[in-house]
Amino acid sequence: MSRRYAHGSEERELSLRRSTDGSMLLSLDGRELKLAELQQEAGELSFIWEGRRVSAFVLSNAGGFELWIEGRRMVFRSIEPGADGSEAGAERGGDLVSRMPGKVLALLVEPGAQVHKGQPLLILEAMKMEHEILAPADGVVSAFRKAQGDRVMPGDLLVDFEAST
Amino acid sequence: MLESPPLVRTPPASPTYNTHISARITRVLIANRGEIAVRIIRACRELGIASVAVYSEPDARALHVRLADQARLIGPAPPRESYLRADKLLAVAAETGCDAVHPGYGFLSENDAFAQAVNDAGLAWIGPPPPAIRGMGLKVESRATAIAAGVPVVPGFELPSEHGLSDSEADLRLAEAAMAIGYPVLVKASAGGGGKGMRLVEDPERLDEALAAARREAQAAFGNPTVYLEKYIRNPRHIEIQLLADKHGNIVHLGERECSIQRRYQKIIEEAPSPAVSAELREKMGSGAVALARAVGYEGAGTVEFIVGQDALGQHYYFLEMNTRLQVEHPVTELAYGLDLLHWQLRIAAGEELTLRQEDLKPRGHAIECRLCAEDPAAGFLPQVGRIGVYREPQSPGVRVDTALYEGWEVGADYDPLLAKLIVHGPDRDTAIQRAAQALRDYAVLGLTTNSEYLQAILAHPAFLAGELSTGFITQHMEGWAPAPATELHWAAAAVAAAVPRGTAQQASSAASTALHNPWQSLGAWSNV
Repeated sequence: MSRRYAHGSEERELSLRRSTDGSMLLSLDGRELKLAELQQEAGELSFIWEGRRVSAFVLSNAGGFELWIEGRRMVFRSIEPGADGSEAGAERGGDLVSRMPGKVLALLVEPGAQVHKGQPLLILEAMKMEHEILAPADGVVSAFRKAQGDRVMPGDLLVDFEAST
Repeated sequence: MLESPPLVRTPPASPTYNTHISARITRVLIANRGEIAVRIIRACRELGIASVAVYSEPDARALHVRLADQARLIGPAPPRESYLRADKLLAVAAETGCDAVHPGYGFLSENDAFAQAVNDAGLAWIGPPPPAIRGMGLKVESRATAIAAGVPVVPGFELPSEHGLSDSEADLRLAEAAMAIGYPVLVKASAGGGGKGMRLVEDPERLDEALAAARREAQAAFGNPTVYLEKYIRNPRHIEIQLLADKHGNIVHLGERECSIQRRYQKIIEEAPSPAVSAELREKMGSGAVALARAVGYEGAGTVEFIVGQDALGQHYYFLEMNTRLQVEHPVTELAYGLDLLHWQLRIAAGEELTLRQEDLKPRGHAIECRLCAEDPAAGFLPQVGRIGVYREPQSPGVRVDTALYEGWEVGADYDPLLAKLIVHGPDRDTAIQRAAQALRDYAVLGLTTNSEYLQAILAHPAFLAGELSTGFITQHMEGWAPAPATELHWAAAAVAAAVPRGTAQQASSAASTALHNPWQSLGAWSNV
């Protein structure tokens, strides 16, 4: 049995099994690798890799798990069999979706305004710093979804924007 | 069976307190949060002083609340309704019998009106006298003081404080001045610090926009929209001098810290001593800083910031500003000079005399600080929030961690993204860099993205290793940085993690035994299918 995981845009088929001599065999997209001296305890695992011991911490979450390994935090998502892997809405609107929790400080143009690419449309404040939300292209601001002073959460749509073609 | 110790310690009804320090300070109100509040509590405890913490609603379970002898809720999340409420802070101080207030850094630490109110309430302010804060806190006035004290300053322009001009007239005046100084210019907040309310303007047509944004940010951050202009020195080093001054007229400097590694004017990595400062330059900048402190009647710990430019004629240093408080990066000085600045702040506030003599103060070895922040360098450094699920601090000789993090703490968006300061000390710069890099690798934080990998990339950069630092380092060398893709090793570890049956980690960690168990047991179900 194997499971499919994604890290960023990369996906791999992973499986681990015990070989006849008792060591663990890892299969990575069909290629077999031997893992010696595999140990694990609460939230921690380690094994010998190219002659040295490698340790990692594991934190499970709803969609998979994250690892702390050799000074890096790496997030792995489980890919359920049958799922097509698409993430509806994730790309929606690009920068016009808030990517952090914060507050709308100011709306800089009127709804309906014709704007040029890179023009600041609104100002968000998060962690005491201002972040400008810029027009992704020349176009028209159809509407603001948030008013000045509104709190926003990651994923909230901020502006309805129509790029001119 | 032993009972577990209580989370909150009750202060002993003490003759045991005050064994080391003048009886003037017995109980300190800490008007701050996060790692600096924790740092102050620990220093107080070492000196036998009781501590009283204050907290906002989202900080109810914060480490500083758990460590202090007493803690009081002072309001909701926004600083204006809690950590900046001078009236509430003073009420808590009175109610809990505090005799001193430590403001930490940020918040009210450079607010002379609050310092005055603390003094008026009969409490000791652990910081400089209010007039010194006022004189140095307003960058416009501090420039004039620096010039009078014979310390070189960067060419700049400010409007007189009572200029009586309309906004558009003021903007016009600033635009003329910017032309005279020569672009690029910096727009800076008069009451500010830490990069807030600061804008770089390279194109005269963008000046109006920058003035408006800087004023908004300055108003929001400091309650004062006044801004001024300064000539922009390209790619300088940021080097600052640490000072200690007592109430008896003794002032010493503790050499420099180099804080050139900055992103958007926020320091990321600091070190002491600076690879660019000779003993001779240290003495020149140090004595200039001491003269400035003397000119304003300074007391306590303070920092004079300089920018240092290099041209064909050699190194030039210019006064930037004075921070009338403890700095975030104070630990590198502590490690390089082998002393405790918090202790000295408390001793000075209690009226003790400095026993340090300038001629004895020489840096030993090298110290580096890395600021671990809740931000994602791969996604425009956006602030990150989340619950700390795994937390392991590095443990090696010469490694110190100043933090308020713990496993289970929820990192929110209400405050500064600083999570922890990793500070290392080594016999020389190379050793300190190696030590910092390994300590970062060993500093496991899971639950949210941090800038750890980015910090490691800076430490490994050839220009950093060569000591070729400037405030342009990040733009020159780190633009377009992205984390490396996962390697076979990472996928192998992922395969092992994926093979652990769901829930095992939680069950095992809650069990009393932490002994290693046989992997074949937990993998058994897998190997047979």
